[in-house]
Amino acid sequence: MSDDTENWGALSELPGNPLMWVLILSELMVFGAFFAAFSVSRVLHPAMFLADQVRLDRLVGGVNTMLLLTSGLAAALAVNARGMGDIRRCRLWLGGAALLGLGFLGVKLAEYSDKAAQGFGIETDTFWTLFYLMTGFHAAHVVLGLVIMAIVVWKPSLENVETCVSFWHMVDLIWVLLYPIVYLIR
Amino acid sequence: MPSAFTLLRAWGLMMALTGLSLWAAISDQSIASTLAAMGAGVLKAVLILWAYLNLRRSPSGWKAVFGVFLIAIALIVLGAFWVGKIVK
Amino acid sequence: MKYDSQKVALYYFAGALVLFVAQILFGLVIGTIVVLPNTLSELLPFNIARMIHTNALIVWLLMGFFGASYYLIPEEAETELYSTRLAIVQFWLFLIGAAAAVVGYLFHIHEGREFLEQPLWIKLAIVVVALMFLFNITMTVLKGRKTAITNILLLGLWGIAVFFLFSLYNPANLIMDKIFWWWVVHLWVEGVWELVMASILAFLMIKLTGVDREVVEKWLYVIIGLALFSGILGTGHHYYWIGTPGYWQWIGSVFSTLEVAPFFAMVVFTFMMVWKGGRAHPNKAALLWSLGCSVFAFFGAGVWGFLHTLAPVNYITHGTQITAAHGHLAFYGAYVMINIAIMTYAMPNILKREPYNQLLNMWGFWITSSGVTFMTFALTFAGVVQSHLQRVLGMGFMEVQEQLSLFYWMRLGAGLATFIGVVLIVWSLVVPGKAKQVGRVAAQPAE
Ligand code: HEM
Ligand code: HEM
Ligand SMILES: [Fe+2]
Repeated sequence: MSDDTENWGALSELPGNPLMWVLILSELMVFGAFFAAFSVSRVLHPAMFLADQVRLDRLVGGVNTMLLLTSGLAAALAVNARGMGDIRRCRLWLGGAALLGLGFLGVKLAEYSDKAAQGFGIETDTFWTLFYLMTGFHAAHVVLGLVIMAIVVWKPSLENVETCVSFWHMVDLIWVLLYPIVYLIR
Repeated sequence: MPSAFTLLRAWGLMMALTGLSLWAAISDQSIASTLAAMGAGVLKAVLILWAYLNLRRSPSGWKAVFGVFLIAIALIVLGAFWVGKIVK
Repeated sequence: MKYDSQKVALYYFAGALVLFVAQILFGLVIGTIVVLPNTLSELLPFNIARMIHTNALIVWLLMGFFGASYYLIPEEAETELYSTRLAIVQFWLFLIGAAAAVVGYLFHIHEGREFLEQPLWIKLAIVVVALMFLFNITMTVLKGRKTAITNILLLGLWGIAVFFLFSLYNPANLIMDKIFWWWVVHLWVEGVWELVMASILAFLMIKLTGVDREVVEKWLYVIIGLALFSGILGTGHHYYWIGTPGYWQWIGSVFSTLEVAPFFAMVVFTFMMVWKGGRAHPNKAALLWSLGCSVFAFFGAGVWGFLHTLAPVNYITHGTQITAAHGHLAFYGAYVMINIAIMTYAMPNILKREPYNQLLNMWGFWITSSGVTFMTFALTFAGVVQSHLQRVLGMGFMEVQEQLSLFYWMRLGAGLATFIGVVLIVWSLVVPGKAKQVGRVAAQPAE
């Protein structure tokens, strides 16, 4: 595959590998569709959504939001460090971002097992189906982001770092929208 | 690349917005808290794009794309919320 | 054509065209049986003739892909084919296997799953043929230049073979059976075949428009990225009502909707390239087929696919004539047309002639495309009526079929037009007549 990030038309204007942006934009479409699906389903089943949504712990969601935002800060600082040629600091920041990402996953797992223990599974009803699908897809992207990060820590070229961090920021961006839609708005 | 200060400021703002929307949601369930939650979410998304991803410097076409995306999401979510209120 | 071994593609193109005609003839037969049920009732029952119609389609499309690969890979890799003899042996094996399968069908020797009715030993023979083919082209690419086009074409072709292996897996549990059946059927046409289609299209764009390879390759990467992203989980649109968990309705609806994107990207791609290239290639018919391919694939797969892909819609339309309408336009637009496009481009080069029978070929394009389009509309209307009567009002299946007979007659009429168009296409390709011979150098327009 060609390494250059030039001559991709509009895609060249974005930080990192243009093909990553094809993925990112596709992800935005998918999550956008899920957000719409969730909102419409709530209109169709107001009682179900109200009854189920109160089971979610808003504070847990808030803590996870803060973990991801802080992780995003570390990732952005990693790009800065790499831009200044400081590979060691870049790796450290990436490591920090990854640790916070792991923290997010830990909280998420605790949340899932708590819900499962209460008997709420992916097939319980439409609300829980969408809850598990949306947060599950998102968590899968956190995992993928961590894998990419591990690769980039190993091979930290500027393009690689930018590509990885762009993906990571998109994972943040999806979460900051998902959080109010699924957890807060009732 | 955005300076460390710019990044830190964006981070602080987003943390504050998260706290604010959480507090608003827990303290009451009015339309105001809904607006606050969604508004904070969209604002955070803008800050991620603007500062973290440094899209301040990107061409206006991309700004329009992301802007339209966020506005569309906000309108759909709030629109559905509003319809839900009326129907109820 | 730069390399002698590219000629071997001719076997495959010829075989494909013969089977194309047979496929259409059997289409006419089943189209007739539908409206006049006693036709051939003793000799050739509907289910047998239908099987030959659909199997011939798949086999000739694959044969075309093989031929396209044998033509395109040496040229891209800038080296002779690894083994021409192996390619010829592979051709005869494949053809004989296909013929044996058809004869078996006539004697009611077949299995039960749609599209995969071949008896086990035929399936195994197909695997052997595929391995011969993959070995041959992979060795060619390994010893030659590697381009984005060869890489993606190889990925697609290997994918075709790998997913075909799931046809050998036939679990007793009906749900599992269906799940894996779709791994062949869906992951072929909405996954790996798309890679083959996109890479052939990219090759044609480089040759016909003269746009830089770098630009074409970038488009190719974007298109296949979109195709794989959406197509794999898009399989979910077949997991709505087969006993799988309900969340597939969400996954399938969301991801398969996005499957429209790569088809749309191919339309933008082909038209952008032609617009940017501005070179008037003498083979206008090949360009017409290439553009037609992206447009018809977009309508057949993209628009007609989206039409019934959302779970609440599919709940009503599942397995009705809407499906048949979509199946026809999608297969025609994407895979019939890409095959005819590469044949129209390659045959004059292989035969060392100026592009020949261009006008006739283009008439074939318009008549066939009109025929298939009309068939699609007839079936779509039939499907809407059927969905309403059968699924909404709850009328019985056979009772509803009677209401549809007008549409079925229209399908048969349009099918006849399609047949005439196909004859023109085949004639224009295989009968070069007195078309001017050209020297080696002139036959090879600069890349
Ligand atoms: C070139 C690409 C495509 C081809 C050749 C194709 C072909 C087919 C065929 C032959 C069937 C019938 C399968 C059966 O026997 O049950 C089918 C079913 C279906 N296709 Fe496609 N298809 C393509 C792309 C798409 C796309 C992009 C979408 C969605 C946007 C789509 C949506 C569907 C759906 C929902 C069904 C199931 C219909 C039912 O429930 O009966 N297809 N397709
Ligand atoms: C390029 C041309 C054609 C292509 C690509 C094509 C493709 C297909 C495919 C994929 C199916 C299976 C559909 C499904 O499972 O839903 C099918 C079935 C069928 N085709 Fe064709 N076909 C073509 C031409 C024709 C023609 C000319 C006729 C004649 C009128 C015809 C009549 C039929 C009939 C009657 C069926 C069976 C539908 C059913 O079971 O209800 N086809 N064809
Ligand atoms: Fe499919």
